[in-house]
Amino acid sequence: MNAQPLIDGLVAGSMIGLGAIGITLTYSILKFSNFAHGEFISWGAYAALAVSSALAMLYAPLAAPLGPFSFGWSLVIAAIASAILTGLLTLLVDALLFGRLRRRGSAAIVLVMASFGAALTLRALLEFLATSKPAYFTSSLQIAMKLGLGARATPDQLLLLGVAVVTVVGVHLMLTRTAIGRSMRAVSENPDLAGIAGVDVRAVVRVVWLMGGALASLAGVMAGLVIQIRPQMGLDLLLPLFAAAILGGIGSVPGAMLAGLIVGLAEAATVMFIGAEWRAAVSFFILVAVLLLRPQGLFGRLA
Amino acid sequence: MTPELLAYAAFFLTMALSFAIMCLGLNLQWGQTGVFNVGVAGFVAIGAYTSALLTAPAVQDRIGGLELPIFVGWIGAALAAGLVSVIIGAITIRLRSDYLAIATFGVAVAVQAITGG
Repeated sequence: MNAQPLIDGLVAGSMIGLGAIGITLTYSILKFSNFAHGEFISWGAYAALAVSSALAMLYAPLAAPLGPFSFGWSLVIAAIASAILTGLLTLLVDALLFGRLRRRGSAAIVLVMASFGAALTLRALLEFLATSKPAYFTSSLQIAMKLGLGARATPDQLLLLGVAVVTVVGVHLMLTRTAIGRSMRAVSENPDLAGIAGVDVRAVVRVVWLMGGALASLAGVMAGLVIQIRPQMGLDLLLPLFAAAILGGIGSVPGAMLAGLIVGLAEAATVMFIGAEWRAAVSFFILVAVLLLRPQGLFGRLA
Repeated sequence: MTPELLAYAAFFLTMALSFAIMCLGLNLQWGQTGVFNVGVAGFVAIGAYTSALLTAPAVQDRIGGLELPIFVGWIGAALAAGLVSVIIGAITIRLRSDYLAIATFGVAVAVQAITGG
């Protein structure tokens, strides 16, 4: 018995989980399933690539690898810059598209279709700007460390797991312990009532987009670091993201992360025991099974 | 009008008419009955692969290649895509509209993955 699928699944699952948090927040607070969320992941990865390349060009020592990791300070700075840039991109898309539809009182399905259009546009624009050739943050190779039970992981992968856990705990505490978190939950329960009670609904909507964008960009940087950066990377992650958001229960941040890990592990197990070509079907089976058997998910409440 | 230009126009007309047939199907599902099927492309792919498997010439080490007449391919494609959609429909028809969108998107992705992109 080899424990390698466990590591692969956890690493993939933590990226899925971070992306699924954005989906679950958009779904529970803005009331629509955002098919453009995957594109925020791709844009986040490319934004980080652009910033880190620029930094490395301006001041080469920034790109020198940090300790056992394959990247230097340039990527750390780039990841933070990308979180902000991707957050701003989500606000731009909302101002141009979703906000207008929301003010017009459009049905959820209209917003879903609009998000399809936004996804197509963002993806085509990214392919136009960056070409569809895969890109990498660094070209340096990393030797995987032995972890026992036949499992290996690179220092990058272990760091990403740690960052994912810290991020999820942070987002969860923010939602449950801070004033803006309480406002977000109030708007998710009932936007009109929250507005009457003095909650600034538009500010809450902005925070939801900024958080979703920042988490998506983090997932994109992670995927870019341990796999590769392609304009299609977000689209490939979209179905696992939805499976995780629904399995975790719409609106639940710990649920989205836990479900992301479950989806990641299920994918890794499928690759190991059934065959790599069935990997993408796993999310679909999880999705349909949850929708049929437990539509409220693991931690959600019935609507 | 050179023959090349005509051939080019005919090619685009064929594509446009194919899209028109897909729209007819979507209109029936979404327009007439309110079933928002995001995965139309997945069912198109099932039809295309079925017809190819039924009519393509036999090649060593490749599945299909039954060399049947082209009409058999068309009917077979319609039957296969219809059969799959009956199964998918039986599972998903009771879902809320946005969950149905996600599930049918899943169908399209799963079909794409299984056929190898």
